[in-house]
Amino acid sequence: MAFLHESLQESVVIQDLDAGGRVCVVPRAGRRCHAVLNVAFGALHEAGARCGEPAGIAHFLEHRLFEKPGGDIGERFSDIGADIDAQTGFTSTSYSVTSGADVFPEAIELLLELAGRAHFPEDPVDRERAIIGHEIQLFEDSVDWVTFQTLLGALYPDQRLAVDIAGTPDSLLSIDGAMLERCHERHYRPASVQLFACGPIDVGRLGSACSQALRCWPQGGSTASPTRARARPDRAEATMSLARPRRLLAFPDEIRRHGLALMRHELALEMALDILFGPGSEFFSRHYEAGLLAGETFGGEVYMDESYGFCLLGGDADDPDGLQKVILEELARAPGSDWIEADFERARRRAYGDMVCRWEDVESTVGFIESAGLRGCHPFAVTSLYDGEDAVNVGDIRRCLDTCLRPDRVAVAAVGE
Amino acid sequence: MSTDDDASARLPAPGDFDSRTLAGGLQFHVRHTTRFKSVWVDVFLGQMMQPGAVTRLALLARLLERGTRRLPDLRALNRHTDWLYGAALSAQTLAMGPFQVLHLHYDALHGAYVPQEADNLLECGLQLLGEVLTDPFLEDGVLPPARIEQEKASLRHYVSALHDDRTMLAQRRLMEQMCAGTPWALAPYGDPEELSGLDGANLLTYLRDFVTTAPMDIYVCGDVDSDQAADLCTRHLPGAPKARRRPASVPELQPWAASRRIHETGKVSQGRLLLGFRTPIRLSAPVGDYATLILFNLLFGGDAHSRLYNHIREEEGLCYHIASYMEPMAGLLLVEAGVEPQDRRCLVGKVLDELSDLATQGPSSAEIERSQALSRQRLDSAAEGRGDLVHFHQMRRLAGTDSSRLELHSALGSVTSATLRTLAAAIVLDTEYFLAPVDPVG
Repeated sequence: MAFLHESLQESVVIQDLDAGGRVCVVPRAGRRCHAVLNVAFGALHEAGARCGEPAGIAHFLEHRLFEKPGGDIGERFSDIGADIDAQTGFTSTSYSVTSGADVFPEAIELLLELAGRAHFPEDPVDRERAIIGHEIQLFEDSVDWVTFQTLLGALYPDQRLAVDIAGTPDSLLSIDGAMLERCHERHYRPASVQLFACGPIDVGRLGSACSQALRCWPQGGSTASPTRARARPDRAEATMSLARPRRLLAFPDEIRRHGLALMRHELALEMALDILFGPGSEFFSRHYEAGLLAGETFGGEVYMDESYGFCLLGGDADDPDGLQKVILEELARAPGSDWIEADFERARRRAYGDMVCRWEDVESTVGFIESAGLRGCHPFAVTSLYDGEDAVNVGDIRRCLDTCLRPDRVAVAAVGE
Repeated sequence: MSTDDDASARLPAPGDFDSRTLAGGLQFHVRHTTRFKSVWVDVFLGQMMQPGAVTRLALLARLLERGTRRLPDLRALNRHTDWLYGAALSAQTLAMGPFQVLHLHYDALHGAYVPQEADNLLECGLQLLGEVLTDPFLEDGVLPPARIEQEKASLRHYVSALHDDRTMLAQRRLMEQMCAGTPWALAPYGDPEELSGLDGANLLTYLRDFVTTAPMDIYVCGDVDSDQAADLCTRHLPGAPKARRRPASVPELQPWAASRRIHETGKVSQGRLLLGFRTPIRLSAPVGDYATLILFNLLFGGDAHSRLYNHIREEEGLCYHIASYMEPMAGLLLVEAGVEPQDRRCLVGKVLDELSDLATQGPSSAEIERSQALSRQRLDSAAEGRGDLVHFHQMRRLAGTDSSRLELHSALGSVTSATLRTLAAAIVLDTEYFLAPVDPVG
């Protein structure tokens, strides 16, 4: 079904496939196409070692799917001048391709083969374990990664989210070719697949190609659903050699939301963070000028899904305890202030401009429709949250102060020497 | 007119921009396209990197973001752009080969996508860029001392934090030592050791001189009327009482003498290996030679189908990260990898073996064709973006060459196994740098 957005001057075509799965396309003139094939299998779907799905198997599977009987399928993408990438997340794994319009049909065929065809000989699996071990060790030097992982450990102790998506050297030990094959068959099902694309694309032809390929996949829905994380906010520390310590706070949101209500809440939280702590806030300029916060690293982010939800906030500071104190004080004062009412329109305009710019290049457009589609929303329903009568309002942002941005319910990650 | 609206054309017109010189010595480059919903303005003012000068300009870039006479502080400036529907303004210093470039960027929605009556956001932006460069906030006629102290502290912290990224630290240490005594050894973000003599008066004097004498390029990309955009630039951006300097010539590195090995230790979990190779080809070389270097880098280590990735990561499992990249104005090819200390020697040997194999056997036709296809796709793709196009054009202006994207695209087809073999044979290892963990295992 096709939809037109007059003020954005864009259209979206959504097609539910006979074989299962869904295709969502933004057709656009040009020379270049971008597509993301999303499979609803991520770290939070892993059933655990006792069920033959140790931590890290979703990511391991993503790596090993590149190996095919004729060699690395990546070379076949390169042969047609297409760039391929893959990423494993908490709730899904995505495979993305960028190519010229002339070779896009071939690129899509390869993309479906990449995700759909299982081939896991034992020798490369052992080698992959070593490569992922190197990957895990490399990330141990990344302050962003270490802080984020420490924060997840503080927020969701002893749960899957507290462990690296890639697993641990120990959890990888039990993974073998047979286990990968079973895991692939269990989770890579047509009903778990969504394809998002933008560019000069023949949607009918794309839908047919997807249906044809997906008919060869194991049928039925995936047998697993992601585990819902339960926040137990605490404090965690990690030792790293850093010029200045980093302090990150996480505020959990435990209300389970779906679809557009979830995206509405996500946008309201982003606007709340902008109003209270963004570069245009009084807080930011006061503490930047006092040297308490670092302009380059201070900021907030929102992570909102059906399986988990939290906001994080913080950055580098000579006095991380001082930074934490002023953030919590600001949140304590926010409900009794008129800051949100006074600054709402500025924040809305900023968010609106950012949203429109996500419809410019093919990659960011696909990112937008993917974000909407994975939450079960039509992309144009999401754009209506930014302007007009359905837009996020002051009340939505005020509710964030009650449900999430509470100074009395916070997880803390302290990283430094 | 340069336009990419004709989607049926496989390649755009030879030049990606319409260029002209405006009053005040402004080099104006415009690309008209209806592809985007916003308009971008990029301003570049360059200088050859020199000790002292790099730090002065890096500090100034930070101060330019702190406020103007009309918008006197950080908050006023940030809120002003937010009200312009999330417009963005930034100022930073970048390295482009041996040049340090002050890069100002502004972007804002095109009027067609602004929901209510709004000012002309392009004019708002050029006015703002002009004010940032020529009318900064002053106290008693100088840049405010308190802000200078804040930004000196921020710059010190920024540099330290950059070096918390161990890969970046290793890259910096390699360039400092391999290119010692040349501009390439310097960092575009400045040296905290050089901050002490800088104050509100000498920085302002320097700024006023710099914005009127340095070579200045302005790029405007979006659905704009070229003449109107040029007129706005002339009206709002700083002119020059005398002719602006031309970009300096790209200097030479010292001649290669012998390979050397540098071993340092640091607080890293995994060792960082950098190999700096010299090649005989630079960005200013004839376009066919430069195309050879581009393809060589891609098939050697520049992509996930490359020799280094396939043989060292995938087949040997020696590391997770290994890649090569170029410093095109110096003609350097750099290989970096994250590797355990006990595997370093083996990994270096395998990189050199691949180079030697390419010098004797040459790459296969499949390798060449794959790299050509990828390069062509990327050059085509650049036409649908803005950042890459602007960077491509500005790099060539500084390097003193006018070869276009189309010429480079065409030249890729002429590269053969023989020319790649000849290039491989002429590449020499200059410096091997290893940042090892303090307490290496094994």
